[in-house]
Amino acid sequence: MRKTQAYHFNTEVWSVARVGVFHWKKWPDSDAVILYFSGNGDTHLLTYLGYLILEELRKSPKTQPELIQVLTALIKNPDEVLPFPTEMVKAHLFHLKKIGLVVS
Amino acid sequence: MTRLNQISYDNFEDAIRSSGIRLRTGPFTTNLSTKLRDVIHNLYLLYADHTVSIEPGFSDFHLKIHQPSFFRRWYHPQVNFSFDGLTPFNPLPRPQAYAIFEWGLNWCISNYSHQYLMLHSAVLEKNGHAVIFPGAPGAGKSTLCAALSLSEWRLFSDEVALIEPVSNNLVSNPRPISLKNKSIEIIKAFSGEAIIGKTIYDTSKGTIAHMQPPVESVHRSNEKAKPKIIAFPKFIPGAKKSLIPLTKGEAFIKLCENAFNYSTLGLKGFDMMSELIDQCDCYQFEYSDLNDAIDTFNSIVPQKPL
Repeated sequence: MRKTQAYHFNTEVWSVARVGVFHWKKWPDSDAVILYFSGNGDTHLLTYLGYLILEELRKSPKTQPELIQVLTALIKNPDEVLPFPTEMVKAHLFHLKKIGLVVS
Repeated sequence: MTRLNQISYDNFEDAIRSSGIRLRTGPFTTNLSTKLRDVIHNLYLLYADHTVSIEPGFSDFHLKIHQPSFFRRWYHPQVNFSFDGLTPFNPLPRPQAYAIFEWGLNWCISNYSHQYLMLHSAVLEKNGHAVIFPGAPGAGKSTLCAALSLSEWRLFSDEVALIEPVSNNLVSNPRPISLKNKSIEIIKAFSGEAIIGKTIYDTSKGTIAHMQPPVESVHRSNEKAKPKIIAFPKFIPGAKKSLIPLTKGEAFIKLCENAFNYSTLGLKGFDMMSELIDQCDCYQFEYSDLNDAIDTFNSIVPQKPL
């Protein structure tokens, strides 16, 4: 059962909600990002990772492995020895789906 | 228009009992008529320095404070608030007549002034810099607002921050400050200069009384100010004062929760809110002592006038 779920998550294609435009407010010294989504008029406080995920999915729909590959390249730090936070991406995707910003 | 204190009480009473008076508060003109003596008396005291006209003319809001029916004048007397001939609220007990006027005017402004971004906040100004105090009822913003306005700060509003588009300036709308429960005695003890109207008991907010806005604030109500500080106040009995910086993102979301028309304005609201947050230092402020609170804001507001 667990294997089936993992397989499903890896092949599931994620994309941004179809109707609406993302308007961002960022500050140079802050990890928090504000999003105004014109699709439903809601405003959200997101992390910078949430911002990157939405921007990448806006460019084109992606599976989770594809998304992680792009994000790894984007936020690659030569001094970073820790593995990329895959679980965090997964959690973000579920959260963004729950608040109606992405679909799968 | 003339300052209310330059019109005799009798002339004022005659006018407000017949066709109504036009009361100017900040950018708004309200036509008000009532036959209720306690309302007339409180208005004459609390709006003494505002400009009024007893001649007919343009008004933004047409309000009437009146008793609903002959029967209800005698049996559990009630009072009604009419706006442009409609009665948007259920009647209240007759002794709350003045309160229904103040609440009703707040309602008119917050529902019909979408030319501004409106926040549920007190606003005060010093040296040309405005401080916005957003807060839910009971957070202690009106008490703090009253104390600051009695300590050489200019009152803009104790209820609604009006933010102009494009310039993002705050527009002044000084009106009587609504004090609730213990705050009434706290402010009386804080300053002998506080002029406080009739106490109204058993309202939905408890006991309330209104404090007359300082004369200078009323006389300078056409002067706008730049927003500089946003502080979310919280009165905690016995607490030591603490001024904790908020991140811009946290402040943005908290401010949205305190906005009257952020959603109504859509993308324009988002852009205005973004500019407002950019311009301001944002804090969470906890206090229990008014003098401490005043010292805090005296020390963080820029001393250099704009």
